[in-house]
Amino acid sequence: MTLTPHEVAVSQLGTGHGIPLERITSLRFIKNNIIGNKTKKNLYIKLGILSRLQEIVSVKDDKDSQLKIQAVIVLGSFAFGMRKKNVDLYYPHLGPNCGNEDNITALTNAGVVEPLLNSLNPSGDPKLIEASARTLNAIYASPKVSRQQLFQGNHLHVLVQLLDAYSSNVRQGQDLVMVHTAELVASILARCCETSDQQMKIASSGAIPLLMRLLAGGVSKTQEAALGALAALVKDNSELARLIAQTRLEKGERPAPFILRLVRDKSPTMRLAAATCLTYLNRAGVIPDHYVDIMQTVLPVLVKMLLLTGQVQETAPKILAYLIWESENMQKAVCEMDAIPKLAQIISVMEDGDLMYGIVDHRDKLKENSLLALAAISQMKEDCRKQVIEAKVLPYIVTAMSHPSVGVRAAACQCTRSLSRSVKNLRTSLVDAGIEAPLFQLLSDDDPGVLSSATATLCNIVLDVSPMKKTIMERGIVAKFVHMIGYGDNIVRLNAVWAIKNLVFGAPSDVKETVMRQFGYHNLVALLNDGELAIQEQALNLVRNLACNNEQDINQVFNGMGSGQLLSIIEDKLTWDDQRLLEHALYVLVNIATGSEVHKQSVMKRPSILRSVLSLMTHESVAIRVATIWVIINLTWPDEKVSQSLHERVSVLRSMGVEDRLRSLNSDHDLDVRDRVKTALDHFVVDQQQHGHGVPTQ
Amino acid sequence: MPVFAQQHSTEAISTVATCTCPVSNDVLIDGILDHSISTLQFQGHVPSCPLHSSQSAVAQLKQQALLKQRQARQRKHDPFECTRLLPTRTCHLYPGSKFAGKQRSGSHSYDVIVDIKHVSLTESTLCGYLHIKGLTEEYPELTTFFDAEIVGPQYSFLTRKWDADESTDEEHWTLFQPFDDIVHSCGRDKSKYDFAKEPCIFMRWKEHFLVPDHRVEGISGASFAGFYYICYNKSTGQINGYYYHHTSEKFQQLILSHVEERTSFGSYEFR
Repeated sequence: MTLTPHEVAVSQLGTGHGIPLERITSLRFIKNNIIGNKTKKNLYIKLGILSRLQEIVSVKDDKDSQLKIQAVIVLGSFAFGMRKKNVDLYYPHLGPNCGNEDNITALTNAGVVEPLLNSLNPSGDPKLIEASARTLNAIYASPKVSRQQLFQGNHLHVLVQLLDAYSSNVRQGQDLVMVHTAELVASILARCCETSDQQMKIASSGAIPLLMRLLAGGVSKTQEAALGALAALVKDNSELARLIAQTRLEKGERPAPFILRLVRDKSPTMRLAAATCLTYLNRAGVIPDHYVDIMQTVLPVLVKMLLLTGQVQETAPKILAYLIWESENMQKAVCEMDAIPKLAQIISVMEDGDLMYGIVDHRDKLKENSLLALAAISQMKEDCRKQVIEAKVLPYIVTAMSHPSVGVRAAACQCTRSLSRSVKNLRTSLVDAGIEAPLFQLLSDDDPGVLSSATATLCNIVLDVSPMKKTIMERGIVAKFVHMIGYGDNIVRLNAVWAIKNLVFGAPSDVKETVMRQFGYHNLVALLNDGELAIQEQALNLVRNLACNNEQDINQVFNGMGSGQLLSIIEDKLTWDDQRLLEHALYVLVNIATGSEVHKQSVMKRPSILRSVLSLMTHESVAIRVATIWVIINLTWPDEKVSQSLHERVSVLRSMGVEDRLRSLNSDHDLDVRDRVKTALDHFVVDQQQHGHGVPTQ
Repeated sequence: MPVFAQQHSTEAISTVATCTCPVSNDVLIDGILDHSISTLQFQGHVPSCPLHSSQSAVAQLKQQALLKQRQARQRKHDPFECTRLLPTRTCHLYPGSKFAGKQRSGSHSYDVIVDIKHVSLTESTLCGYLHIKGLTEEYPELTTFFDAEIVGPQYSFLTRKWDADESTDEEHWTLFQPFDDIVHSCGRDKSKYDFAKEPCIFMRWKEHFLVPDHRVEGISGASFAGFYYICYNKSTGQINGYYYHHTSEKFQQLILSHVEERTSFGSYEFR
């Protein structure tokens, strides 16, 4: 038996071997063997090469930098995956694009990160620094690698110093290496902006001015890397976005117009990097002066990228989705640029073949991002939804809801959520496409993102205009919602209450009763005082919908919660400075006041509620003013026969100053308010005609 | 103003508010969420301290704390969280609203009920169901889904589709008396019509499919290929309309008034 040349090579790396030249030769041999060869990489890892390399890189002695450089390069070979496109390098936050997770885990387990960070010491060999930066960059391509070490000790400071490629201290002949190192460091920093804390630490270490200098420097790959780092710093961080938008480049120019020119660059990766950076700045609301530029330049550039291939095509739809997400005008503009057929094309031509479970490859990512873009486009405007339906892409969206990739499932569900925000779609295309069964299936999904999109979509499916309401209720959806309210995370809980509220809107008494028997009024009371305001709002809206339509329904709520408790809750909510809560609380009163004398009296017996209503009659919001007047209208609604209790109610309200307040609203600028005031005042006038002046004796 | 300090006792940890006025409200607001009101005790207030007098002041501060928390959440929101489509309404146009009346076609007259299902003033649209009785023998009662374009900043008086040209528009809109007033107020430039401020709302109602089964196509003796020119009066709740289809009998009239069955209002919202 004899050793293989590979075993020989690894054994020669041991520290016992004193001749550096031999070790360098071994490393070169290994390097040439493993490049692009997954099997050989695995073989060497099994032979224990990583700890040998770790030892070499950890040596404090700087004399044998050649050996170190070779070791670092070999480590890099282990870290590199199949995908080396630049966009992939600069946009780690767009998703896990690393094809080499296992090797990288092996590298970090061997403890190579710390010595690699130490090798960045600026007084060392520039070639070693460059090689270390490259290897670290490849390691940080994996989102699984902890970023913690980088923020400890002096490492971040050293990294930021390396961004200073254009300083006057650069040694002659080394400037290209320095610029390339700066590019790699910018890319590393871009990968280490996962939390706002990390973003802040990088910013406060002085990285921003140096990144600006790289951006203005004119070496295009370095510019791209700088854009990537700047984008990562401003993403979802309005504070840093504002800071960066307001800095100036060396010639005094603001970054936005400069980046805007790069959006028209001839290189697609540069265009994408620039568009991404502007997208994040725009969503942060810090470049309002460039609205037209974004509409006229960035949007069309991103839409055209849908026709490209590879990484740029893959990433562009996600950036597009991010850019237009909150803007109705941009959604409309993208619609008019014919983005929908392009996205539909991408989604429908990609047939799912032999996909292995859980592996996220380019095809999945492209599908996920394209679905997200469709979700963004159809989120707010019915016209855009119509175009998506007409593109005949819905069957593919529904299929994608059961895709093995979590990302694709979540994005597909976002899409159905956007499309289901329409009465027309709920009645037609969504029924035809059969979204109900796959949607119900997703309620058992392990992924919280998928679960929250699915529950959100269900909020729309259970509306009375949806023919799917009946069947999905028969599947036991209410019990599922009730369970989620008790056990889900806050978003899922919110969605579940929201869904129940939508479900009982306009529902007959027996449905309301069945739902509340499962839900339990004690749970409803708890939600009305939930720590999440958004949940309180939905719970209050639910009470409003329950106590609506007829006396029986009001009775149900009165019996379920106890009228005293109910009115106390409303009394409390009326003191909140939150328009949504106020509106729902007022409409609970409006609805109760349509009920029997007992119901009306329950409100009349609460002077503080009546005082709140009176003071809200001059609220700045039209919706609130209208609601208050409806409370008065219903409390003073004339019965068929003249009733003493009606007269008493009118008198109490009059003595509080309600009638005077109504008269002052006669000149309200809003016609709805004026017309409702007219009705309410009529009630007071009729009462006066029948009973004359004066307050009734108690 | 008090700040919160933890006091350890043999029993559970209770929170004590010690008045150290004037500490900023924010300290108090930030602190208050971590503690339930019932475990708070108050000690040593100066009289001006809001916590001095009443528990309701504490409740107020808790409200402020929750509102502040909501604002903070909004700043740190998920970038792909859907924008809310808050329900909108004006006068008699709200989800759940009903209108009843007749459609006149020559000497015939049919009972009509309109159910409003969704109103989006921000998108200048609404939609609902239109029930018509006795139109054909096969279907003694027919229900269609329709949607509406509300004339205003987003939809012009000019239809430019559905086989209607400018003269068709002119011919129909002028049948509505309030339309004269617009010519006076807006002149020829009717694109400036702001339905939110005017007493009347002009719309086009277009039927799309049958309810409950949208797949049914072609009903002998009935058609919904055309559309209605509509004028709704905000104050009276009256809706007038004229059906137009280039092959149908002209000026079939729709007259509806708002049904004030019950003045209770539920509310739903798309998620």
